[in-house]
Amino acid sequence: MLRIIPRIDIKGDNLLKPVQFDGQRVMGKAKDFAKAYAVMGADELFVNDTVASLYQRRFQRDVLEGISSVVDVPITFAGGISSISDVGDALRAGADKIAINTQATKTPELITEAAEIYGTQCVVGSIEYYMQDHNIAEVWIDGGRQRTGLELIRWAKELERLGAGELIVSSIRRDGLGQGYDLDVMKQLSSELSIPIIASCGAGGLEDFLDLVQQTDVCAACAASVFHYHISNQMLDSQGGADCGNLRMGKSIDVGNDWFLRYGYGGFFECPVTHFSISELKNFLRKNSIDVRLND
Amino acid sequence: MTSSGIVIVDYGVGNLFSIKQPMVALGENVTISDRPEIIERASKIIFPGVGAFGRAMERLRRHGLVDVIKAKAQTGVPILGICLGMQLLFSSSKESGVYQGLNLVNGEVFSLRDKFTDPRVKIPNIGWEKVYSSEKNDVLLKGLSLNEGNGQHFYFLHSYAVASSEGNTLAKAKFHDMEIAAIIKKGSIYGCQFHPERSGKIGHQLLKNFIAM
Repeated sequence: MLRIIPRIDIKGDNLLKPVQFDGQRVMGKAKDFAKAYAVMGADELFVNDTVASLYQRRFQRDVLEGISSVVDVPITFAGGISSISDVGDALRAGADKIAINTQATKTPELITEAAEIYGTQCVVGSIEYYMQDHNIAEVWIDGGRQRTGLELIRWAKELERLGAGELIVSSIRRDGLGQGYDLDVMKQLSSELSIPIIASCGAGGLEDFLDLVQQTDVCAACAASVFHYHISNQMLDSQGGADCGNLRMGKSIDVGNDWFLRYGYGGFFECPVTHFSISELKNFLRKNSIDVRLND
Repeated sequence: MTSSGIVIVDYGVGNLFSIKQPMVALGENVTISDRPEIIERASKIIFPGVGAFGRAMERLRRHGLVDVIKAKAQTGVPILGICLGMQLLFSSSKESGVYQGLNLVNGEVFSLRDKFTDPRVKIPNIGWEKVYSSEKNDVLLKGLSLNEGNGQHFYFLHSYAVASSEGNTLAKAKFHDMEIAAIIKKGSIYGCQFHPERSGKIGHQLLKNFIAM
């Protein structure tokens, strides 16, 4: 059964929506989004502290506890997990799984240690990559700020060997642009690894999820824009469109502060994302004979 | 001797927060503890569910909890094991070696990968599966409709399991073509392979049923 996992990137207790991990725009309180998604049919939530590694600071326990206390579906928490005590603390603060990216590239034995103590099922390897020249995918760390020289597929297999029970794999280049998932990479990973893979970054429409599940063997689809913009638009409507400032008003899709896009961002001038609710997505998938959890 | 209410056993490797939350929300007197004298006075016991079998048993021993829990089980106090907690109730497990469990329920925990060697079968088992039962009257299942249709979805997160062919299976779930024990019951001892605290409304209803026992 395909899991649908909203991605909640956070800085402090705010939810952010970046584009290619950049131009991070605050769209609201992470807790509000998390609560809404749990009620609306999310199978899990992926909560990612986007600056913990970069700022070299620990995750914020109260933020995680706050989110955990308002949802009744599993949470995978990522961001700045760099020691075995971080792992234990995150689990005790309400995470069901923890994801490790940066630190695994520095002290890979952390993956093994966490798997031995807490079980492989709650250790997720998080990989964020950029396609470099010659179609080689390179792993980046510190929230998309630092190159590693590691090749994606090889690193993914290494994480599996070290003891990760699942991988969440994010295409930095596709983040926020609504151009679809990186099907080639996801297909290769899901056929070469025997642990579940969660695909992240790039979803821009209902068909992108269908393509993902029909053309790859991933177990879960993680997405942000398609869901966040839907919720934030509803929030606007319910407020009668009042007082959100020019940043969010007047557009059919609230992409937050899009100033940085107006003058072009790497050739992009807009994010062509359609937005919808989780149940709309699941109904669409079910109509296409994809097995999803849906309360009738 | 005053009751310590519902006690969630803290053996150092559990996601205690998510279990405590719904109980607190229901206004229950719930304590997280690793102390034998507190567990001794529990009106109900919950074993939370994250970790490795061998280590968990070792910690239970180190905290002096094995005998306390076994003794409590004899008194008929309701016990709910969740995920690893359910597995610990059994006789043994093949998780990283062979380990003795609490032996409160007969049977063996096995590795999913041992039974499914095809790498296209992704393990751990992570996600929502339908749990179904032919039982209509058990208190734990009240209002869950597990005997209707194909059952209901609950959230699973595990690499080891108990076969539904072991006795004491109250509800089942499928992992590919194999039926595993989703809920076990022996007297007042219950175990859920899935995580009721993370299985949405229906999971919380199950917890409510347990509290109401």
